[in-house]
Amino acid sequence: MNTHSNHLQQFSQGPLEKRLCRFIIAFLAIAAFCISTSLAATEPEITPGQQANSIIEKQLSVIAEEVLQDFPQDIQLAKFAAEFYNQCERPDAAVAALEQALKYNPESYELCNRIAKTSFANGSYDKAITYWRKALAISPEKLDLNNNIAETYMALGKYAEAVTQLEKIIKKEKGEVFPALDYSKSYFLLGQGYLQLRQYEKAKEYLEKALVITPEHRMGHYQLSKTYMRLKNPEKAKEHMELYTKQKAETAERKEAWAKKRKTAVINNTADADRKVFSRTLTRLSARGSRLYLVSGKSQSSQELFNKAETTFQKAIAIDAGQSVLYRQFALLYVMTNRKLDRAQGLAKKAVELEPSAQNYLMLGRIYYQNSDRANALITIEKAIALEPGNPLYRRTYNKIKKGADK
Amino acid sequence: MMKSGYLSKNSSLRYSMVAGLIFINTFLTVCANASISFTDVTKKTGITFKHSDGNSEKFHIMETVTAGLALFDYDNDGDTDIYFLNGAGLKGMKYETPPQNELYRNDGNFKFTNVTAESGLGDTGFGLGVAVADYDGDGDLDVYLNNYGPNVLYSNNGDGTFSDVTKKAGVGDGSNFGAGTCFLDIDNDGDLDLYVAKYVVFSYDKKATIVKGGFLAYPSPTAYVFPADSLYRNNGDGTFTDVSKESGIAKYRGTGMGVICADYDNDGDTDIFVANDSMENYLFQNDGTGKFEEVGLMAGTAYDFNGKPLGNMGVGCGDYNNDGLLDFYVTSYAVEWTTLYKNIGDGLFEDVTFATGSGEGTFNNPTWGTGFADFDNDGDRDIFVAGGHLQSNVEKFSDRMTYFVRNEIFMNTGDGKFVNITDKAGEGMKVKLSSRGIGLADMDNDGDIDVVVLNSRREPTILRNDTTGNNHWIKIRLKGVKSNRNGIGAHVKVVTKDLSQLDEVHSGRGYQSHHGLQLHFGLGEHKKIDRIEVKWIGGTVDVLEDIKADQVITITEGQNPIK
Repeated sequence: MNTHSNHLQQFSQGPLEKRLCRFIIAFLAIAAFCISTSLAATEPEITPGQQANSIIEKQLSVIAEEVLQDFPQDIQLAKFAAEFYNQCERPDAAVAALEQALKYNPESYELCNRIAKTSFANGSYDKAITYWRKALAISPEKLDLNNNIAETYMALGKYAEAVTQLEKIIKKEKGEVFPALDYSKSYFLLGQGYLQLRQYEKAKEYLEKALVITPEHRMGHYQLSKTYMRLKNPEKAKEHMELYTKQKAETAERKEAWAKKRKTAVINNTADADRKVFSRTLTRLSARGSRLYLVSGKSQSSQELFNKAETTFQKAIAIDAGQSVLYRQFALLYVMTNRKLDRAQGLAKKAVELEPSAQNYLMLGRIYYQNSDRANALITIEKAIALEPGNPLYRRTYNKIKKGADK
Repeated sequence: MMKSGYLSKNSSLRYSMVAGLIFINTFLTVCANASISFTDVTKKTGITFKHSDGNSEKFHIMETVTAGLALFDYDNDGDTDIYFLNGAGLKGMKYETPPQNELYRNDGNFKFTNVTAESGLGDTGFGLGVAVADYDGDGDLDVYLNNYGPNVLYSNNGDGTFSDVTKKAGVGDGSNFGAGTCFLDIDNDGDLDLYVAKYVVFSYDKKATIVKGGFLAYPSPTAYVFPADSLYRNNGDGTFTDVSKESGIAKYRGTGMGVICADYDNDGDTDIFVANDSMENYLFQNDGTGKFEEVGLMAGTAYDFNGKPLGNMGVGCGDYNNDGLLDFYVTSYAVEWTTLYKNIGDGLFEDVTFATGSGEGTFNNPTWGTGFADFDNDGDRDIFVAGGHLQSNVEKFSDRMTYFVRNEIFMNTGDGKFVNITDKAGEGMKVKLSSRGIGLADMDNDGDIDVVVLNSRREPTILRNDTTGNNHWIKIRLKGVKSNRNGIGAHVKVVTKDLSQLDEVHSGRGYQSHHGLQLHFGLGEHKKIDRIEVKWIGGTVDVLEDIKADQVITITEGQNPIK
C-alpha cells in the first residue's frame, strides 16, 4: 500500500469522531461550493435529484482516486473505478485505472476486454483491437471477441480486414442451439462489410442469414434495404425499409409508454437513473475498498505496524462508515496495543450501534473491562452470551471478568 | 568478372537513381501537402464584432447553437462583405448595449468597415441561421434571418441600406427556434422560395438543464419536442405563402440544424438536405413541382454507415471526386465522426468517411460549420471544418474534451481521398476557439478562397489563404434571366482537358450560414478552360468555350446557348 496522501494525514490528527466529521464536512463543502459556483448569479434550476447526483459523484471521485492509489493491483477496484469514470465521461481515466491493474495482472481477460470496450466506445479503435486481440489470446474460447474485433475494423473503415476476421469464424457454426458466438451479429457485420465493399450479392446473402436467426434485427432490415437498392430491386428494398420503420416505430412507442408509465419528466428520469447508477458504483467501490483496507489493516497489525494500521483503518471507515467490522477491528488494534482505550471504546460502541452482534458486544465488553468499568463490561458481555449462548469464549470471558481476574 | 563488375556498377547507379527519384517524389509530395496555408489576419481587419450567446448562465439550449454568418456583396461593388449573426439577451439577462448582428463592408486588402448602423441590418433578435438571395429579382441581395423568436426578411434598397419587409412578405414564421435556412426555387417558376429549418420547441417553463460530473450543463435536443420545418412559396409579388403542408415537408418533425439545397439526383430540380441533431437526417427529394418525398433512409444519408443517427450540425455539398455527382459532408457532435456521403448515382449514397480519411481528427469534439472549396486551386475540392464544444465548462467533467479547439482542414489528394493537414496549414489553423458558422469566399479577390469563422462568445477569425504555388483558377457569377437572378440551383461544369468539375449555386449552407453565390474553380496548371456549361434551373443550358483562366466572368442566362 502506498503512503497516504497529505489530506488524509491532516484528517488523522485528533479524535476519530472529529476526524470523520471533518472528512464529511469537507465532502459537503466541496459539493456545496461546486454547486454554488455553477449556480452563481442564476436561479437554481438544478433539481434536488441532480444535486444529490452531484454530491455522490464528487464523493466517488475522491474515493476512486484514493483506493486506486492504495490498491493499484486490485482488479475489482479497477473495474468499479473504471465504471465510475465512464459514467462521468472520463474514458482516459477509466482506461488508465484498468491498464494500471493490468500491469499487476497481465493475464486478466476481463481487464483486457474492459479496456478494449472503453477504447472502442471512445473512438480509440486501434487500442480496442490490440486489447481484444490480447483478450482473445488469453481466452480463445470467447468467440464473440471476433465480432468485436470485426466491428472495430469496420469503425476504422477497414472493411476487408473485418470481413476476413468474420469469414474465418463463421465456418465454425454448426447450428448449435446455444452457440458460443452470436452468429446473427457476425452475419450482420459481414453483410455490412460487404455492403461497404460494394459486394452486394454477398452483403444480401449474409444480411438475410442474420435475419433468419434474428428476424427482429432492425438494422439488419435497414442494411438489407440499402443493399437491395444497390441491387436495383426497389420492391425488396421497400419491403425491408418498411419492416425497419415499423420496428423503429414500435421501439419508440415502447419507450414512450415506459416513460408515461413512470409519469415523470424525461429529465427527472435521467437524474434518477444517474443516481441509481452512481449509488450502485459508490456502494461497490466503498465495499471493495473498505474490505481491502480491512485486510491490509489486519495484516499490518499482525506485523506490529500499528501506526500504519491505524491510518489504514481510518481510511476504511472514511470510505465505508456503515460497516461495524471496521470499527471493531480498529478498536481491536488499540486493545492489542493497550493505548487510546477511550477512543477504542467509542469505536466499539459505534460497532454495536451499527450492528448489535455478539462479536461487537464482546469487543465492547473487553474494552470496558480494560477501562476498569467492570459493571458495564459484564452487562455488555451478557448481551453477547444472550445472542450466542453456545459460544464458550463469551462464557469464559464473562467468568474471568466476574472473578475479577487481572485485565 | 568485368561483366559482373559492370553490372554491379550499373546496379548501383540504377539504385541511386531510384533512390533519388523516390526522394524527389517524397519531397514534392511533402511540398504539395504543405502548400495550403492560412494566416490569421483578424486583428488587422478592423473588425470589432464579438459574439454573444445570450449569456443567461441558465444553460438554455439556444446558447449552444448560435450562430451563422453570411458572406455576400451587399453593395454590389464586386467584393465580398461580411455579416455576423449574434445572440440576444435571454430571459432574465439584460445587456447595457444589446448584442446585434453586424455588417462589415469590404474595403479591400482585408480591411473592413462596420456599416451596421447605416445599413439597417443590426438585427437584435436571437440570431441563428441566415440566407442571402435576390428574392424579389431587383438586382441586389436580400437577407433572411432565421432567429430564435420572430424571423426577419430584410430587403436590400439598392443603396447600401435594408428595410424590414417581414410582415409584408409573410415569412416571420411565428416565434420559433430557428436554425439553417435556404432560398431555392422549389417549382422551377423562376422565383426563389424559402426553406426554414427549426431546432426544438423551446419554452422557458421546461427545465431541461442537466448535470454532468456534478456541474450544470446544456441539455440535448432530445429533451424537447421536435418541430416541423417550414417551406414558403414565393408568390412573385414580394409575398410568400406557407406551403409546408402541401409540399410534404410538414409531415416530418426533426431537430433541424444545417440545411443545404442541391439537385443531388441531377434531375433538374432542387432537393433539400436537412442535417438533424441526434436523429436521422432528412433528404427531401423534389418531384419538380415543389412536392417533396423524404428519401434519406433509402438514399443512405440518414445515418452513418453503421445505421447510427448522429448529432448532425452543418452540411456542405460539393463534387469532391469530380464524378459529376454532388456529395454531402456533415459535421456532428462529440464522440462522433464527421460523415462524407459519396453520391454513387441512382439517388444513392455511401458513407465513405473512413475510406477517404475525411473524418480524421474530428471525433473528440463537436464540429459545426463546413464547406467544400479548392483551397490550393489544384482542381479538387478540399474540406474545412469548424470545431468547438458546446458545453462551455466541458473541461470540468471530461478528461479529453475542451471548449476551445482548433478547426480542421482536409486536403483532397486527387484520388478520392483526404489528408488532414491542419498541423501544416499555417499559423492561422492554430487558433483555438469554439467556432460555429463559417464562410468560404475569396475575400481579397486574389483567386483563392479565404475563410471567415464565427466563434461563440468571442471575436471572429479571419483566415487569409496564403497558399503558395502557381495554380490557376476561375470565378463565375451567374445572372439569371428566366430563372432566379443569382442562378441559385444552377449546375456549372468546368472542363479543362482531363479535368471536369461540377458545382452548384447555393443560398444558405454549412452551419446556418451563407456563402458562395460566386462559384470558384481551381484549375491546376491549366491556363485555359475548354468548356463551361451552365444548366439553369428551368432547363436552359449555356455553353462557353476557350475561356482564359484567372479571371471573374459573369454568365447571363440564355446568352450562350448550346450549339
